[in-house]
Amino acid sequence: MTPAILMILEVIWSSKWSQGVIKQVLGTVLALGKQKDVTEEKLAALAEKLKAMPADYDPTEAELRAALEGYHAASDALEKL
Amino acid sequence: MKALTRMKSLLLASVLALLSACAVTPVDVYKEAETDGQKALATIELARIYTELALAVAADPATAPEVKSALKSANARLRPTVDALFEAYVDYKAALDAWKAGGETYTGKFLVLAANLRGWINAAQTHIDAMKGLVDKWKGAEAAPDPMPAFAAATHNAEG
Repeated sequence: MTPAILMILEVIWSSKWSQGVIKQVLGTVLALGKQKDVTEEKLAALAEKLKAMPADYDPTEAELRAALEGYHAASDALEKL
Repeated sequence: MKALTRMKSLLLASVLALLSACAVTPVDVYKEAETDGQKALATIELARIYTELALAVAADPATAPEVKSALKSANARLRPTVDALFEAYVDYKAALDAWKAGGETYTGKFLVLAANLRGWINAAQTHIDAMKGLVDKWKGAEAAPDPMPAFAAATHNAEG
C-alpha cells in the first residue's frame, strides 16, 4: 500500500466528521465504485485467471481455441458493422 | 459514538475496495503471465476485450464514419496476427508436450517455435495497443447522458 493511500485512510479515521459528512463521502465512494469501467473489470478478471494458474503451466490448445473463438465473434461483429 | 465508528469503518472498507479494484491495465495482466503459453492466452483475451470495446464505440450512431472506419482498419490489421499467434502456439505446444513426454530432445526446432510464438505475441500486442489508443480516444461517447437504444443494445451484446 502506498503512503498516499495510507494517508487517505488516516485522514478518514482520525477525522472529526459528522455522520452526515461521512454519509455523503460514503455515497460518493460507492457511486465511484459503480462507475468503474467494465473493461477494467474484464482486465482484472483476466489478471486473476492468470494469477491462479501454476507458474509453469502452459494452457491447452482447447483453452486458447475458446479464447480465439470469443475474439473472432467480436472481430466478425465489428467487421460487419 | 459507536455508530460514527461503524460508519468510518464502512467508509474505510469502501475506499479500500475501490482502490484495490482501480486502474488495472494490460501491463498488469502481462505481469501475471509467467509462461509463453500464458502470454499467448493473455494476448488473445486482450484482443477480445479491446475489440469488444471497439465494437461498442463503432456501433454508437453518434460515432463519425471515419472513426468507425479507423476501428475497422485496426481490426483488419489485428486479426491476422491473432490467428497467426494461435497457429504458432499450436506448433509450440505440440513440440513442448513432446519434449516433456521425453519423445523428443530439446532441439533448435523448439527454440525456433518459441521465438516464432514470441514474435507473434509482440506483433499482436502492437496492434492491440493501436486499437486501445483509438478506443481510449473515442469511447467518451459511452458516457453520453442519453445513450441511443441501439448503442445500448450493441454495448450489451459486446459485453456478452
